[in-house]
Amino acid sequence: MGLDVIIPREFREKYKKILGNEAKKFFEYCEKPLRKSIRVNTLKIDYDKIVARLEPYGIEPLKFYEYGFYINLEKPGNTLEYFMGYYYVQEVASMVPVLIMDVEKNSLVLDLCASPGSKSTQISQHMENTGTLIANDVSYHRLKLLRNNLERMGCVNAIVINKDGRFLPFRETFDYVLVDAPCSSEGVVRKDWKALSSWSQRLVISKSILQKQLIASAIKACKKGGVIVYSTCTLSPEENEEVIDFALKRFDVSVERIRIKSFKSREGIVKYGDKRYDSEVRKCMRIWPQDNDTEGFFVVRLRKHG
Amino acid sequence: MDREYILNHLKERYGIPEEVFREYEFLVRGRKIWIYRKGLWVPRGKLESIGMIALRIGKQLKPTTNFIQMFGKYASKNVVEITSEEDMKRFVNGKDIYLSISGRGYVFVKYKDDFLGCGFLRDGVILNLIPNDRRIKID
Repeated sequence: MGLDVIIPREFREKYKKILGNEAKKFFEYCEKPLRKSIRVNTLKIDYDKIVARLEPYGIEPLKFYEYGFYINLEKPGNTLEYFMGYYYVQEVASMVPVLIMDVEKNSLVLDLCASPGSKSTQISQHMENTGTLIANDVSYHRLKLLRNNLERMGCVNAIVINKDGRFLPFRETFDYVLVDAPCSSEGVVRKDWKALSSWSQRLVISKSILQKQLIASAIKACKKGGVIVYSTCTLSPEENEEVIDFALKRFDVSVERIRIKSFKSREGIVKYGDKRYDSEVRKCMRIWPQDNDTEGFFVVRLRKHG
Repeated sequence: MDREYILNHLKERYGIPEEVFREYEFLVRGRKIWIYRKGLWVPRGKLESIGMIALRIGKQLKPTTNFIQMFGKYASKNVVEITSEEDMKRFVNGKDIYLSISGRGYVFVKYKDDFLGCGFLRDGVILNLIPNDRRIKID
């Protein structure tokens, strides 16, 4: 399967403009299969015990996150440890949003777009099953998967609700809000070859509109002094920096610069075509596939002031 | 059905001490009994789930796979241990297990240190009660 088949011409042109000479490397990584990775679940088993049990499969710890491992199994969902909920199959870059959320125990947390639950289960784990996690998803059909995953991982501090994230009834309620927004999914092409088959610039723009509504709702739901983490598995500035630029203009929030040791990320893009975004968006984290051999991701941590 | 009834059932049938659930609440809704962490902030409006389903109400109370995986380690009664790896693989794949043991009713099925889930013991057979979407094939 050649590049022309997998990657739409419009997409290639867009990323040639953004990345210049590096675009070729980016496209090469888009074609490379991902290494399988997991997050061990300390809600159901001690860390040392699960690591010892997984070692015979061949695991390699992530340098930046103690719970994350590469695993040398073609089907990591076919082990006794998976059945027991001792780990969650999760892509490496997707572990970053909850890591930078840095949630405290006994907090009140909202996961606005929670299904299938990789980050919700990770939040519960970081909270050590204390406090309250409200896991919301707009799609009723996706709730079953979310509930199954929360229960399989032993998350007894979670409540699942089914609301349109744009119109939540919460005002200044939560200590932390995660918006892992629905997106054009450009970053997951390494996991799902069809991810770009429905890609178009029109899709990017429509997602951007939705994302701005979602982040506005998230900010309203967050307490003053609270934290909002916004993430997508896509790389288009329209769905990332532009959404944060919108939030900075409309709300009293600031961007907190986060850097993760032993994990490469790049600054947010300030100039894009004829657009100029707030210079604060530089503090966002752009995770390119070619930097850490992961999916593409975008993550930012906002602090609400007013 | 109240907390006392549920705690008494778990103690009488499985030998789980009441103290294990000191930090947990139970909620009965329809034929489901949910368990969740005490002190949870509950929003107004419809909830799709709260914590996890612990037991299902029928002729007897049937414990769920997820509940057994979390709390099975505290049980001292009606625990059936599978000793062969082959039986473990069959059980997590949804197959019944044939053992020469007597008794009748719901049991916690254990393999080494892991509490796998729920079975119904009848005439020396552990009828498999692992939900379809939890079953896996271990190679």
